[in-house]
Amino acid sequence: MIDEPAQTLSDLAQRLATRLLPDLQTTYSQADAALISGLMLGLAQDYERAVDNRMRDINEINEIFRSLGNEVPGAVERSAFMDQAPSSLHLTDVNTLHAQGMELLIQLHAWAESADDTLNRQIWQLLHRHCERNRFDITGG
Amino acid sequence: MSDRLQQVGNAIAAYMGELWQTTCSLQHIEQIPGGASRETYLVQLQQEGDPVGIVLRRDPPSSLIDTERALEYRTYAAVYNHGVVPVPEPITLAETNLGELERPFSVMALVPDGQASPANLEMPDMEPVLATLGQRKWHLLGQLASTPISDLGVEDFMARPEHPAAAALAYWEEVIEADAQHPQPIAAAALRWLHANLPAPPEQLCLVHGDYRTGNFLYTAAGDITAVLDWEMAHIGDPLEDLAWSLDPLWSNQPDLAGRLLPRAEAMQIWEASSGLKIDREAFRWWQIFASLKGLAIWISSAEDYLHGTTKEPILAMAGWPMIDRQNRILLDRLSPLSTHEHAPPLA
Repeated sequence: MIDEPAQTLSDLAQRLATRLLPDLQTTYSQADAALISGLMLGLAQDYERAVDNRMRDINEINEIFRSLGNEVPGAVERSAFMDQAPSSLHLTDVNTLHAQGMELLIQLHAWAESADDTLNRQIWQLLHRHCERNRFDITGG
Repeated sequence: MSDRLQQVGNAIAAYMGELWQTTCSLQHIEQIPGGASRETYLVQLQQEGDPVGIVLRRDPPSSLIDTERALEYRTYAAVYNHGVVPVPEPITLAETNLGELERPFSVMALVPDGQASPANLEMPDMEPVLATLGQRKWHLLGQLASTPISDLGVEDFMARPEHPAAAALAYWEEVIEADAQHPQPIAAAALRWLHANLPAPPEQLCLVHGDYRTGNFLYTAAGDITAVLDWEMAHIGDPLEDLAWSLDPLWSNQPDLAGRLLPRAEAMQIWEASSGLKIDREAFRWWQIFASLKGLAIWISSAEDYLHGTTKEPILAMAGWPMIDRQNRILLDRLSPLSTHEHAPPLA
């Protein structure tokens, strides 16, 4: 098991930027190394949070779905989604369920825009939280 | 100089010697970083004893934007011949008989003065000329907007859309549909809004640069713009498209400044004065949302290209991951009824 993988990725990115990059001989190589360092910082951030972020989205989508009655279009599909859990906590499996939930959310949002202002606002709130928790800060690279 | 650079340099020197029917040798070559759509090289040649600078733009195996090189080259030629905005002189386009360069390429004359770096605008010596540079930037864009497309001759090789907004929206919607790796709820909301609020076609069409932003022109320390670059997304369209794109919050790290240069209201005034066109505020709101959606489409396409393309250029991933994140937050700020305008000011 690798201890602190996110921190390790971040440390490697910093070393690339501060120790190796200055010794590269062309502007192109230096720019490439700076980009790679920045991307490693992004990977470090996402490594730590990716599964948690997807699961939070899935839970919040479920919360919205649970609050809806059968009169809202898509009830059967929502019910089927709510009965599911990811088949494992591997990111690939979590992503599969997350994508299903997001597709249903998009359809619901399209309906809510003209039919249910409260629901529309709830979905926008979810999207604000979704964006905030997936925010990257890779300026350190 | 690496073997790879030396090989490219020797190959272009040989090619240009043959083209010019003269003796041509390589003096120096360097690759420019950040060229996401083409490999770009600055090349110094010796032509019968005289120094000649050229810029070589070669197709990569994988590109950020799937563009047609011939269209870009012919656009450069049209704009250069007309002179409405400064561009490098196009020298040749090679799509066959490529010799050792292997992939299609174009060659332009090197513009001796100017740099493109947006970050360097924040150097202390640039601060006194930022307003002058901003004036020049939106003045040139206004000039381009008011130049009849028939004067430029671009109708020979560009489609003339009946409804520019509808055509542009259809194009970028297709890119998102084709390249998105997972559902995009904010893009979907933007697309619904854009379809529901389509503006009428403009009274006058113009040549749209397609990527007119800080970073795509060469500027000097005196605040002049010596060349407008990167015309690969040029098309005939609505004059408001470039203006909205140039003002997208993505291109500035200061929310109150457009393109790191001027307050956006001032940029709009300069554009109106230069073009003689009056900004239709309702249509402009549409083009601003569209600009952010188009940006998102490009970053989605870039992420897809990084994932499935062959080059694995880091710039594709950089354009893909953090840019999708930032452009999503900008669109959210523009569309959500709960917006706090942290990432994008209210629509102009």
